[in-house]
Amino acid sequence: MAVLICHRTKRGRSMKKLLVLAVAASFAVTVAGCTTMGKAPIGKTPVVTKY
Amino acid sequence: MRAVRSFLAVAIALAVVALATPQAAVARETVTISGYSPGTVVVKTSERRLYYVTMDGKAVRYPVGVGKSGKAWTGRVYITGKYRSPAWSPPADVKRDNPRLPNVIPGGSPRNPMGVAALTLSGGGEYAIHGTNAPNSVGGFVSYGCFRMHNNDVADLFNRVSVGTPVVVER
Repeated sequence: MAVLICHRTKRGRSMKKLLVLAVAASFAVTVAGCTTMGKAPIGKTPVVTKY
Repeated sequence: MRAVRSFLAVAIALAVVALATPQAAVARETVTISGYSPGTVVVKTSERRLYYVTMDGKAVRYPVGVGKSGKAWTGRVYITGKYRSPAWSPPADVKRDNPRLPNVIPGGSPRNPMGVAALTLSGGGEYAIHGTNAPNSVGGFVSYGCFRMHNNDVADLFNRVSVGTPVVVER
């Protein structure tokens, strides 16, 4: 893996870019999923409401 | 003979458990309703019942706890958020009445009054439709203006509604 993302080679640089993009996309999908479904991750966000 | 006796013992034990579970006794039911669009949540506070209007003039009816004296309200709002087992923070006026309440109660805690789910409401009143950690209070005039449901009922409603679902609160 270290060889694949090595910045010294053209292939390594493009693999590194792909990896960064994949991580960013995964984060974006998670955030978008929570937002569009109107759901917070379970038990994490306190709701401030009466009861 | 021994097998029959064991079977009877298990059957009796199950019957005792079923009778001792209060939520089993208060089942939601499907009823006829008119005057509301499908997909609307209607709360009739005098009845202590919440209706979710489905198609063809029917609604699912659930028992709810509603605002105690001086805390009841009416109006048209909508669902602004859906949260499963949320952590809960008391707003200022609740904290003032109950200074011993912690600032945050984690989701899933037996002390958390939201129970398994909360549906927050628009209107700025800090109201919600939510589950409970006090099932015996459902069906009474007990709350600060929120609508308190059995946990299995709020879980069912959670799956039927979405952010933006209209909520009509009547006497």
